[in-house]
Amino acid sequence: MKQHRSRAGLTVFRWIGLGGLVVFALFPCYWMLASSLRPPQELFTVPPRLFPGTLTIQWYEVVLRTTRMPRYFLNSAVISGASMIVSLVIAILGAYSLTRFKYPGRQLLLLSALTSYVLPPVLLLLPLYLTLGALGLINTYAGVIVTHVTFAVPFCLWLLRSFFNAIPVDLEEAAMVDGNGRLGAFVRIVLPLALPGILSTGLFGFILSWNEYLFASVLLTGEGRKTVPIGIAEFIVQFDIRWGEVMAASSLATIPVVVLFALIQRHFVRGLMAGAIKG
Amino acid sequence: MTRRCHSRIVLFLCVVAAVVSGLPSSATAATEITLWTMRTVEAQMSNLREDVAEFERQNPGIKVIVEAVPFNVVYPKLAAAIQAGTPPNLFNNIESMVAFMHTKGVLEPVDDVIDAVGRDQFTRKYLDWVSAGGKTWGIPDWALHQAVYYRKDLFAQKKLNAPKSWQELLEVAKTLNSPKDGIHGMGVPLGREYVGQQTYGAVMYSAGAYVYDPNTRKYVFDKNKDKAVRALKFVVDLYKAASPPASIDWSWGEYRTAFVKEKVAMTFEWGSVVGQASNENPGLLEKISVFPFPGPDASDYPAKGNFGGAYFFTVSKSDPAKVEASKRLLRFLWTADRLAKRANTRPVFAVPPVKAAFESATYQNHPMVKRFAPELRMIFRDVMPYEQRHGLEAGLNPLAGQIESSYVFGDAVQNVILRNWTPERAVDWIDGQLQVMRAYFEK
Amino acid sequence: MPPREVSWSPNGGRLGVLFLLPTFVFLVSLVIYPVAYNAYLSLQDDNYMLGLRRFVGIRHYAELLQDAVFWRSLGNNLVWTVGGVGGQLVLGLAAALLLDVPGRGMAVVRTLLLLPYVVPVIATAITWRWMFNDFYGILSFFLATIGMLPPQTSPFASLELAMPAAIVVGIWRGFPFAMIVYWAALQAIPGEEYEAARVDGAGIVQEFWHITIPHLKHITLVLVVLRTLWMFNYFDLLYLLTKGGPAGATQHLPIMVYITSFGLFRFGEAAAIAGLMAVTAGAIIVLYVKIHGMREL
Repeated sequence: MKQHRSRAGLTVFRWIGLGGLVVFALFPCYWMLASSLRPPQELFTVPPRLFPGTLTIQWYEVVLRTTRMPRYFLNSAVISGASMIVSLVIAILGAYSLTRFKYPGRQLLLLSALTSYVLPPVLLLLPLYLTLGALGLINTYAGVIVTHVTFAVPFCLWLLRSFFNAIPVDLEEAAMVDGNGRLGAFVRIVLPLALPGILSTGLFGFILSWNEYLFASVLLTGEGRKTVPIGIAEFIVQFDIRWGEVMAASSLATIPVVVLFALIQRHFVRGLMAGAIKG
Repeated sequence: MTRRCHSRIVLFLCVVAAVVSGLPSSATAATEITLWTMRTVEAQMSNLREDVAEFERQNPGIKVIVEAVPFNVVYPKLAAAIQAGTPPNLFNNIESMVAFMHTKGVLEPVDDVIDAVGRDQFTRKYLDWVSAGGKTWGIPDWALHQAVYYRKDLFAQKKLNAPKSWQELLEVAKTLNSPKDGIHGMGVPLGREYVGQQTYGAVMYSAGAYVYDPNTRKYVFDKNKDKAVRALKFVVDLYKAASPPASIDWSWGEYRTAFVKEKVAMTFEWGSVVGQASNENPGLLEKISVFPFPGPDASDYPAKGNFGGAYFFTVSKSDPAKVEASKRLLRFLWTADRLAKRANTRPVFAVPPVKAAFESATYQNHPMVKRFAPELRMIFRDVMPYEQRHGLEAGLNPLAGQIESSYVFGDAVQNVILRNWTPERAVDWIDGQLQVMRAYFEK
Repeated sequence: MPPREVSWSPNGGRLGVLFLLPTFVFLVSLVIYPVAYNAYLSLQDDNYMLGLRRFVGIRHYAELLQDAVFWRSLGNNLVWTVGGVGGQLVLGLAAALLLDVPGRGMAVVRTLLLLPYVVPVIATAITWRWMFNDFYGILSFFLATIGMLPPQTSPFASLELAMPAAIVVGIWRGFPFAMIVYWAALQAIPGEEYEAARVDGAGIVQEFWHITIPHLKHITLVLVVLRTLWMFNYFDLLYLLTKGGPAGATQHLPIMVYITSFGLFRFGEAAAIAGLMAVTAGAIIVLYVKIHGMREL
């Protein structure tokens, strides 16, 4: 009886909490989307109006038909996809090493991985540009990918280390006793259990690269390789902001990430652990 | 001759013909030049691309790569490119960037192009800004202007005339100020990023408070302090008397929208409201007019100083073929017709700084230009020739960009209003900051 | 709690280092050099415009430590960081707990709650600025209606309200990161622990305190370290929102670095500010780790 009541209370509390959270998180996004659908006369009204009076897709037409944004989406997809994969591979290797092997200096290595975050990025810009220039990577996908990986690997490493830590070693040992090699144990035990962690880390690696503006805009010249954030910034000249276009382009920019997240959510399931131990 | 001899001769001639036709033409491979532009909005980009395509058609040996550079990464991007030895061959930029590039020593003078167009055709002031060492380092493309855009219908209602002195402006602003009816007298935008210093700059220059003396070319801000203080006091008075309080944080978007949505009867403006009103509040267009910012005294009207700006093209040092190709493109772009078309991608906001272009039919026949013809004539005659810009009063100066990007003048105004600094302290502080900058360049 | 790790085969050390190698190839070649270069620059009077560089030792550091603007910016940076990170973690954990229920509907809600983190920063900044605008801002309008703000003003025009408003935006933007990470960590808590506790008669609060929280200690530490470093150095959002105004009320150190480097072109001075920033951020992290008595990170 006691349990039932408390569970019901929890449910009500849960719905209220979620409702508030959704309003908080989504209202600005709604505002952005609504602005992208408002005709020019309705963009700024006093007093402000919650719902658009008339809807228009003119901003989306401008963005998709008259600018190079579709190409920028493709470039961003390539760069972000590659950055995510490379960062994950490097960070998985590193995190596995840090949690499963013992050698002197591990703590120090882990801390020093954070050096990427020690300086404000704007000060990394000139020296990094020169290094990449010496390697011939200016204005290439590879140059930007390398930069994004440099910023993503440290936090991927830290997060994955924590997720790997939470997986008991005896499971792997049991698997190795059963005749799997270390690699087999890794693939069959660690990866499935750490999957939610790996996928969320990968997601953030993707987002970091997708939204990164400063280095992409300095490293990429010419229109063949520019990314989405650069495209959005092009609607903003010093004296002039193209409201509708910025809002429309920004709304479109969120779609790929949302789709990616929707796809990976299927793999977040609690209880895998229970299954593993019993089985 | 025998038949065999004939056929050998024919064969020989064929071979020669084949070889000769297969030789590369005497022209070398195409010269490739890069063109960066800070005007990234599609209307301006497509106009530029059209012109460039036409130029390439007429000059098959030259290939131009156009690139849009969003203004908020322009310094890092340019610095990186200069560091790597690859600045753009042509750069469509603003006055402070010309100063920056000149200080870094990467520019070629463009006097030959200017003279080809006709030096006296240009509004002299813009050439003065980008001159140094007897040479001109940029060619003016768009002239901008800052003046007071106002509601002539509201003026007519209250039987007001365009003010001819600061005091008159203050009174007009107060008369029109009625927040209860939803309208303020004057928008005094003081946002930190550039806008505050543009507003203060307008007042400063109308009072003759220069940073560098246009004649002696020496730093004079420390000798002009009383004028700068007076100007600062006036900005603050105007703000407190007639401007919405939040205008202390207003940037261009905010004050323009305030005017277009009829929340302020006047505002410091650069002409963009015309385009914005035609999209968002077309009925307002017939109610707008312009007057130049007045000087402190009525005897000095229109004031012989105001805060302005311009877009330029610069040519970077490079191998002679590229420099020549760049200049050829500039000569191509500087016809009256093309200048007019370029300016009309942003009518009223952008004015061609070249007489022939301003008076051309292409320019004058644009509907918006026609509509504001009297105002534009006034601007061309009374505002543009007297524009100033921080640090450029005496020509190119390394301080020009720094003064603006460090927000010194804007911060001073905000500190007086919000942190209760006295105007004297604020002006002393500005001078202190400028002296630190100067110390690196002037011994 | 599962045991952390065990040293395995004798080759463990070498193989371990090998796995870590790619990470360090990247770091050394791409980050160590700029960091070292900036440390070197901070001891120079470097003026990029002039191409001038002159050794001045610790002069920049000494001058900064006596500069009121530096201290104010540092104070703003601390407020911004602590307020932002604290808010993000609390809200993120709350959200993760609320979402920890299976079901299709929940998957949709989770996706929606990720949006603040995904929206391009420039659109975020512009949208929030407009929502707080004095005339057409829906939020200013709403706050004025309930009496929390004078009518037709904007928090960004006020010395006192600008930073709190900015922090709200910072929390809004960052909480999904904590939410997703916490949520993934929650999945790793074995279900039977909760079942066993329920059989023993534990209530919700006790479950939370004795099972959930201990399991989340480690990931919380990781989040604090990462988000603190991130927010402390985060330039874009605050600059786009307020440009550091009004009157420097929201100027934090990354903005000060930006103005010093690409406004005044004194890279030596900017590097010194960054040096002081690194020391401060490092101190915060060390302090946090010490307080929580974490023997091992």
